[in-house]
Amino acid sequence: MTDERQVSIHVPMLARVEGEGALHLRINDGRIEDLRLQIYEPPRLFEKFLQGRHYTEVPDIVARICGICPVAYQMSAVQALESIIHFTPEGWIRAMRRLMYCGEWIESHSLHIHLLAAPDYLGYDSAPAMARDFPDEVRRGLGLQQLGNDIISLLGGRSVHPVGVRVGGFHHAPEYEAVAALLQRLRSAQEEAAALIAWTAGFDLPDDNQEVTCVAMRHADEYPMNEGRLVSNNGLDISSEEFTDHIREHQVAYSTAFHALLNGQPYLVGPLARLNLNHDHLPADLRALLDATGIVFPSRNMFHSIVARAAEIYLAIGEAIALLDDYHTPTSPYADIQLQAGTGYGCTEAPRGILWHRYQLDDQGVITRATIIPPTSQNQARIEADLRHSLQHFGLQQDDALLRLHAEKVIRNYDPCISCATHFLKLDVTRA
Amino acid sequence: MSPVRIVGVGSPFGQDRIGWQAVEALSSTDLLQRFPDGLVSLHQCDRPGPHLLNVIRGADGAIIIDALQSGAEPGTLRCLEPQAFAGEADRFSSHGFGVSATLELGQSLGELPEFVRIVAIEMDPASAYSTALTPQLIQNLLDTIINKINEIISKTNLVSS
Repeated sequence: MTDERQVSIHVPMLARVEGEGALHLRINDGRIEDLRLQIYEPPRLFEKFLQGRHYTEVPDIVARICGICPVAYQMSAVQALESIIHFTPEGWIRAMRRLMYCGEWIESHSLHIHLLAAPDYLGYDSAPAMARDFPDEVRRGLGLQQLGNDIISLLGGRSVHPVGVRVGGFHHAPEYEAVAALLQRLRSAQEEAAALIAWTAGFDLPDDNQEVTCVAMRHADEYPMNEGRLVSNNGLDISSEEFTDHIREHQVAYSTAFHALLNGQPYLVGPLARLNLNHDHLPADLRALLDATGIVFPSRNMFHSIVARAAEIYLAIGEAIALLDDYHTPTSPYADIQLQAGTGYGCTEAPRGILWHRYQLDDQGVITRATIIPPTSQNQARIEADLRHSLQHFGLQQDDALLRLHAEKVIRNYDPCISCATHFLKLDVTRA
Repeated sequence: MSPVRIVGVGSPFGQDRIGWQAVEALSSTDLLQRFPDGLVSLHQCDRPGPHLLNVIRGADGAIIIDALQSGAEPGTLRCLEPQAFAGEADRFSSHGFGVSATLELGQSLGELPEFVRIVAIEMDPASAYSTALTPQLIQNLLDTIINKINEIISKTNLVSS
């Protein structure tokens, strides 16, 4: 029987996402006629702010783009700038950049799992409501988040908009005593992170497999954070320089954020894409923990993203321990390099997926052009494709409140950072 | 850590920095000297989210100063209890997981100080992106803010002995 209702759902402001957005959905004769994820947060204009600035100012400016993932912006920026003179960090600098990224993954993923996403799967409308019944789990999440923040502070001076990163390395090296104290806390957190994987895998996650193109970085020897080529499950294998040959941003009238497409098609970036494409780089103990969940990776179920996030917290803690285990204070925390005129490209794995930067410098070291493509812009078209599939699979005959809740769940699962992308949710459903 | 913590919350963006500026202005007054040594301390937080719980954990009382946009006359000062935001977590916040959600979370976890008050300063939506007027606004409100803090703390048993 055909559902002839005309339904219009409007979620005017999405909750538990970073930034301001809305969803408009029009259903006619049992079919989705129109679906638009509208990001209305004002454009951030950071690319223009960067023009005319000296390259030494870039790490501190781009850190201001996001309060949750500032390290990612700093890492892609310094990599892009340093690529102009083909500088590749090694030794202590390389290790500490990876460590700082571990901190951001732990902090960002813990925030999303415990305070933003978990209420969706446990039947609560907010984390505070969930915390009354799951206080220990929420305390664990807050503790892990703080651990991540403290790793960032160790190298960045502070966790929000850190200031320790510079072209060539870091401004300061942490003292051995601070590292030793952090190392002890990291070792204590491993068990909690293992429990977190089992907790998330035990959620009543919708069973909804989709055809999806995953894009992530790939490194020959390790799980990707700062380095690697860009690969997909559909044959993509490119360098950062080739990014815009395959991935194009375009404007849609209803959103202040660009949509990015890979060869004209939506694609997925983020923890699930990363895990799907780099499963062979997981350490044996983490692979065993994932095997015990019964979930098979690579997975085409987008809702397995939350388990992927938990797995990456465990991975990042293990990596951080390994990186700090034989810590030594370096002769210098940075390489004294001077950049020259040219164009540089950088791409690293932000918590939400690949973050691409390109800078053009003049012979005075001044930025003449900057382009930043954040993961949420890249996931926008994928989120819309997922919503079309998931809501159809969920059943468009469901009442508006259930449709709205499911739509929000689908969107939050991507952990969209709208503040970063504006360059998020109100649901507006019309049934015709 | 002091038993009573006054925390200015905000960001560098426009009038959202009112909370920071208020605490900065308070640090130039004799506010702390009005209370027993070590009883009260001043803190500034940049979009703290759940980190706010770490800042106020273990305290007997917390007074949070933040910008508010509720439609009232710009410069209106209001003293609110966390319950004022019950069920409204994040609706008024641009910080993702903001002050109201964090306080509600602290309440659920039983981790809030004995008293928490939010001294909310109404911002002007017409010039939300500008900081040009905020120093003057704070100076005009400073005595009122100090009186309000005095009133909050004097109602507790922390200064009666």
